[in-house]
Amino acid sequence: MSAHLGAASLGYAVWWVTAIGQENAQKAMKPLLGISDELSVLDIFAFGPPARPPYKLWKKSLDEIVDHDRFDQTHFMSDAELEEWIRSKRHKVMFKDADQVD
Amino acid sequence: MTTQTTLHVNDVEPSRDDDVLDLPKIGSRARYDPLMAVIRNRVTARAFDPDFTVPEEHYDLILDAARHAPLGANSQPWHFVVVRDPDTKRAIADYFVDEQRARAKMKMKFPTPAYRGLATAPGFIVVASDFRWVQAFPVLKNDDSDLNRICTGRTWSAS
Ligand SMILES: Cc1cc2nc3c(=O)[nH]c(=O)nc-3n(C[C@H](O)[C@H](O)[C@H](O)COP(=O)(O)O)c2cc1C
Repeated sequence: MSAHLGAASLGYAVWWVTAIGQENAQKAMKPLLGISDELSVLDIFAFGPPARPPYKLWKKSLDEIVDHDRFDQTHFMSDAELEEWIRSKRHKVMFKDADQVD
Repeated sequence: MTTQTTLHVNDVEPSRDDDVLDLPKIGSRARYDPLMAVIRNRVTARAFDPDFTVPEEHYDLILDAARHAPLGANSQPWHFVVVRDPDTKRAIADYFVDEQRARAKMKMKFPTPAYRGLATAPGFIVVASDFRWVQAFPVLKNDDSDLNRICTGRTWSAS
C-alpha cells in the first residue's frame, strides 16, 4: 500500500497482479527472473500513465462498516444472505457505482 | 560484558538525531489533507501508455515508500525486482493471458480482467517474499487462528 500511494502521489495509476497461490505463476516467473525456489513471487506491481482515463470504483460508506463499542448485528450477513449476494451481485463489485451493485 | 549490553540497547533503541520523528501537532490537517488527496484519487488501471519511460528516480521514490511499510514483527522478507526488459515483461504478461483464458473456461461467474494490458506497463516491479525469513520469527508461528487460516503468508498488503 505504501508503494501504491507513493506511485499515486507521483501521478501514476497502479495495477497489482497476484501471483502467490498460483503454482503455475511461480513456475513461469521464477526462472525468468532468476528467483530461487525458496522464495515466493507475491505479485506484480505494474504502474504507469493509464491508457484511458481511469475511474474511481464505489467504496462502502463509513456507516456500513463502522460500529462503536459493539458490533452492530444489522451489519452481519448470514450465510444465506452471503450466498445470495455471491450469486446475484458479486460479479458487479468492480463496477463504478454502488447502485449498480445493490 | 558491559560493552555487550550497551551494544544491545543501541540496537533496539537507536538514539541518533535523524531517528527523531517529525510528526505534526495532534489534530493538524496539514498532512492529512494532502495525504487524503492521494488516497482518494488512487485508482487501479489495467492498461497503460506503453511509450512512457519511467524515470529511474521514480522507482527509487516508490520503493523507498514501500520499504517503510509496517509489517508483522518488522520481518521485512520482501525483495523487489524492477523489470525493464520488454521481453521479460512480455513473457510474464503472456503467462497471465494464458491463465486468464484458463479461468474464462472455468466459468467462475466473476470477471477476469484483461491481462494483455500488463505488457503495456512502463513501470514493472515484481514483489517476492522469503517465507523462510517470516518463519524465522517466533511471533509469527503457525497456529489455528483466523489470521493464519485466512492469510498465511500475506505480507503484501503492507508493501
Ligand atoms: C494485494 C492486491 C492484489 C491484487 N491482485 C489483482 C489481480 O491479480 N488482478 C487484478 O486485475 N487486479 C488485482 N488487484 C486490484 C484490485 O482488483 C483493485 O484494487 C480493486 O478492484 C479496487 O479498485 P481500486 O484499486 O481502483 O480502488 C489487486 C489489488 C491488491 C491490493
